[in-house]
Amino acid sequence: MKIGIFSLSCCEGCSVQFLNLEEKILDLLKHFGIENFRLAKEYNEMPVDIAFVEGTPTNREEILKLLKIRKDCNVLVALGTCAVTGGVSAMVNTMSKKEAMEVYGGFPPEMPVDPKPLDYYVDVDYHLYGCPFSKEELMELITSIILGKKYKDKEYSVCVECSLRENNCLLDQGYLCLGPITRGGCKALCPSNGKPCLGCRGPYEDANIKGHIKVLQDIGFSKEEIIEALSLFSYEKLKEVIGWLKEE
Amino acid sequence: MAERRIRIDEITKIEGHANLTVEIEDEELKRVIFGVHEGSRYFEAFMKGKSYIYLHELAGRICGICTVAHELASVKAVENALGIQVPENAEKLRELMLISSHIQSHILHLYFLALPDYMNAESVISLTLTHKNLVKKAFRIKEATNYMTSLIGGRAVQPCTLKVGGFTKRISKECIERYRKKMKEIYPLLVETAELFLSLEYPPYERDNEYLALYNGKSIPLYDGKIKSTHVEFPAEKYMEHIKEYIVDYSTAKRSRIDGKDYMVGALSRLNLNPYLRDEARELAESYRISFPNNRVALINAAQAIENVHYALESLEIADSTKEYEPKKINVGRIDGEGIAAIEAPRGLLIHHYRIKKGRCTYANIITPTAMNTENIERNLQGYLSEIACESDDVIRVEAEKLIRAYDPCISCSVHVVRVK
Repeated sequence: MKIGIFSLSCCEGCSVQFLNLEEKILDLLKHFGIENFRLAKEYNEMPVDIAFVEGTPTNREEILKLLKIRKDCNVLVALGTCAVTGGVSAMVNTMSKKEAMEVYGGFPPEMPVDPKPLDYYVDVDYHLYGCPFSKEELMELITSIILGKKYKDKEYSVCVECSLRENNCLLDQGYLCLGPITRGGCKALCPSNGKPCLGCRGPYEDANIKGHIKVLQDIGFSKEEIIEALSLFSYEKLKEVIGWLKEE
Repeated sequence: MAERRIRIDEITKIEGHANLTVEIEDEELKRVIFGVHEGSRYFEAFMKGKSYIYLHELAGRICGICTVAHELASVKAVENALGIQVPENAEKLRELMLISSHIQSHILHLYFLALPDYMNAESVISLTLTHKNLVKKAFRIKEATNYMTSLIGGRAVQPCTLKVGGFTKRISKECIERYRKKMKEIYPLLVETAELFLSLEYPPYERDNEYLALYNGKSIPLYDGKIKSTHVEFPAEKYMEHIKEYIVDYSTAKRSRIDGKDYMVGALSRLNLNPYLRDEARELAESYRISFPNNRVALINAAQAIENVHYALESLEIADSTKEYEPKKINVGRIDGEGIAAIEAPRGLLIHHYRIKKGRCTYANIITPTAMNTENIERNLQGYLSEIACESDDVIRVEAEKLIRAYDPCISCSVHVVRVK
């Protein structure tokens, strides 16, 4: 089977995370040929069976590149937060076009495209959540594909994993934590390190977002602080509720 | 008249998207264009208005390869702006984290991106077939250094334990001891790596470049120091008086000059300006007849490999004297201010500069190492390729790529930040 790792606009941390599989890559090479990986390879070929795509298009050229990847692969995996939700780049969508373009003195070098999740443009077969994605989940996904089994998203919150690790609740300590609405699978890495969840894995299916906003307001956080936190990684996925909160 | 145009649409094995055009007429080099076509991400725009507590979180996302350097420069700039004192052991732990991430980045560059050029291999993936043990060694060092970074940072890519004023978690003596032990364990591998990269046959091209790096007059600083170039020395706060950024029409990346000249940052600059290599590292280099200062551009690779040995030894000393860290409540005295921080990222000097008003960012300026190096890369390509302009297209392509890759350019970094007006 042939795999490719593709990069649209982003920090390329997910490509680096892929290489951070270290010696496991040698095991992978027993099952797969890495046929396309510009960061590491001189000759890059298409089509591939599985395309891992990190980042999100921020110009027309990259949209076309994404469409071509979709056409030339069987399975497309959105690799990491930028590909899944638009990521931090999508925060620019909170501003007016005029405001953003003023950064370039009103004349940007190219017509900017709003950063969107990949599934805004193409069908995405699997999502690997997180900034960066979790190596364990990547291995789970790859193993499922090799065995022909179904890979399932984790449909529960970071809170579940945080409780299993018996951490002291950061919300209880007065931190603005997004753990209750954010998709699990990271083993609550940040809260376990004393840092509130910033929501880098995006909201999960049944997240009670409005309920959590109420909780945060009761603790004493302002509307602006809550909107800021919700916008950090998932503006594109949460803009309706953010709009609602603004009007509230 | 024989005219040739050599074009590489997408330079591979570098971080980010860049292209190269070389024009040769009658065996004489006419033009070299090193262009960047990566999309912009408007960090400058969305950092504005954000709370100071999030700035380093966002800064880390500028670049996934030097995320530790970006986070540290950002958090330091905020601390400078708000006059927050960081405990000495937290500073030392940050330095340890920076060292392990530097070595990780150098190993990634040396083995995965640069080495294939010198072994006639397409990529590290093809090297796994011909030189499996070498690749395994690279993975072992990478894994160990990533582990060391995550001992302090929680994880290696986008560390999650930094906060304004210190760290979010307790960092125990055992944790520091594990770091020290791991570094000791891989030290022989770092020496072997240096031996390999000191013995490669690099392009001979030399130029009397302007170099720029942090400087403190006693070591090769990464985390703190004045800024020094070949001709001038100034505190980081005065960077705007000397370093000027500009834009060219064929590239989305910003460029920069110091007092009107192109300049180089990175491993070679650090060693050229700071004659304080530890004996073990210096003697190792000298046994391969390589010494610093050195004007041979492609020796950036060798300088990185020598730095690994130097900083590994430095880190053992730092770890020995670092006490356990216990997080404390940080007293933020003021919520207005302006702060500048300069630190050494693996690829060279990195500057973060913020203005903060009522706890929110009103201005951000970030100058990345690759933005600093871009004009120097182009100038040195002109210099080197005019020496070999009579060679075939293939030779020119290969040699040009070798020189570009030596800088370990990080295009993601160079396009993602433009100043907030």
